[in-house]
Amino acid sequence: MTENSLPSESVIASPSGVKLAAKLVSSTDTRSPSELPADDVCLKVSDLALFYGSNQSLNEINMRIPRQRVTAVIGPSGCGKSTLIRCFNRMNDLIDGVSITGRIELNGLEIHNQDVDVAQLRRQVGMVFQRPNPFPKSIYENVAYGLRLAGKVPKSELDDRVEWGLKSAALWDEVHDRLNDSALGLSGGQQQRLVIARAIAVEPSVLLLDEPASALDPISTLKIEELIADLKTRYTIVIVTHNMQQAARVSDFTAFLYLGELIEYDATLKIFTNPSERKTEDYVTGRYG
Amino acid sequence: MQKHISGAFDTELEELKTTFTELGGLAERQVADAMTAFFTNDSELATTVKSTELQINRHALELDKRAEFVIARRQPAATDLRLLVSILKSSTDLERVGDEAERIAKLADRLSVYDSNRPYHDYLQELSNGTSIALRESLDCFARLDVEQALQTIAGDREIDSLYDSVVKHATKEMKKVPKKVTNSLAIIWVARSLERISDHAKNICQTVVYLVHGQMIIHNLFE
Repeated sequence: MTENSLPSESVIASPSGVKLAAKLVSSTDTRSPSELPADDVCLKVSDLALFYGSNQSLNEINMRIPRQRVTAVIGPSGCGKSTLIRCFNRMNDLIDGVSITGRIELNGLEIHNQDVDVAQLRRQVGMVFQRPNPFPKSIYENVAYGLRLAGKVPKSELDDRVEWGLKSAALWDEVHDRLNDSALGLSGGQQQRLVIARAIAVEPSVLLLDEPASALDPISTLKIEELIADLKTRYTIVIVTHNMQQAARVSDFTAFLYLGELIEYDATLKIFTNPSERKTEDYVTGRYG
Repeated sequence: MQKHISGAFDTELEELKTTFTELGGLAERQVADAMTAFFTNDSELATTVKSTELQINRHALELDKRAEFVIARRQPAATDLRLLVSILKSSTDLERVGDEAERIAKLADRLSVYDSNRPYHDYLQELSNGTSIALRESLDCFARLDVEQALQTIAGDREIDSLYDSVVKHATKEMKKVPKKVTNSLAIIWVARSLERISDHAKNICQTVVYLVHGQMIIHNLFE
């Protein structure tokens, strides 16, 4: 932890001896991402541009995404939010006609280098989509799947890792007595947490969440948000959301994209209380978008 | 009360309440120190009160900023929304209590000697005690959400007003009798005025407690 990283502490001592010592443990990061020390940066995006054929979808994006924090990407439909985060684990490679320029460094290593194993990259940069997509297998097998792919793991260790993954995803208490039941029998919110358990079982360093709660009811949404708050102590999280309030609740930093351009990227509290750009102000106050 | 699904939201609200309570404690201490400085001609203590005032302001600003962040981040509803509105309203009251304490400390500096044998003394002493009690009660009510006590403290403000009138009456008489000491008599009136205002802020906080619990802001004269 750096000196000014969380938890912060506000101590005011008065000469008359009254000491005000509000220990502030909640997130109050008001620094701009550009002020973060280099060690705190997990993903560094430089001059990133993306074209679908001749159509440019991302334009000169520069971002420093901090480690073990939640970064939200907001913006109107079609602004390039999902396209941007799919660059981080090279999911766009699977789409015909896509060309990318610029650099993306994950912990200092350029992810487009020829010697990068893309399967390995995607283990390191896990992804969860809008619609829960559990495999038509048991709850246990869903979480064990990635671990089995990564190599032979002894049964006892596999059991431990599955339990750990489900506990980390705040799902263990609800499913521990029916691990062999089909994952498809779970509710939408549970399925989404199962998918998160599957992603974290292989211990990635980054979790990309693309609208993870937009298909869920309000209570399941809050549970996912609470899970995100827990997970950020171990992972770097990037979440794409249409829901601005959700971005305000869960994230430490927020990036506002509009027509493929990064309009503003700053501490979430700054974006939602006093943004620097007029376009951001208009978007977060519901004046356009 | 049951916890929120978001543990971080609970933490943020708890921190706000703690910061508010600390601000209240500091304001209370400032008033007590300012009155001691005034009654005992303690210029060192008066200086301390004046320098602490800056910290009250900083603390109140920090509280407001954090409340603003919680509103932006959580979009609070119902009780949570009322708590934030109440903290924002009452932090202004406490910040102003700090301003009045500073004013009293400045008057303590200006006063050559405080003469406790003058006829206004007993009333001023009682006014000072009554104001301190009202302020403490208002902060206790806030912490305990005690509406009954809040209403009693609001009703007690009439007593404070009448003590203030008595101090003014006696200090004015003194002015007429000893024109040479008019500066001192004026200082007595100003101190009494500050105490009466502090008591008004305590009353505001009590009214805010009623709003916080019942969701209704009581109209100022309703209980008078």
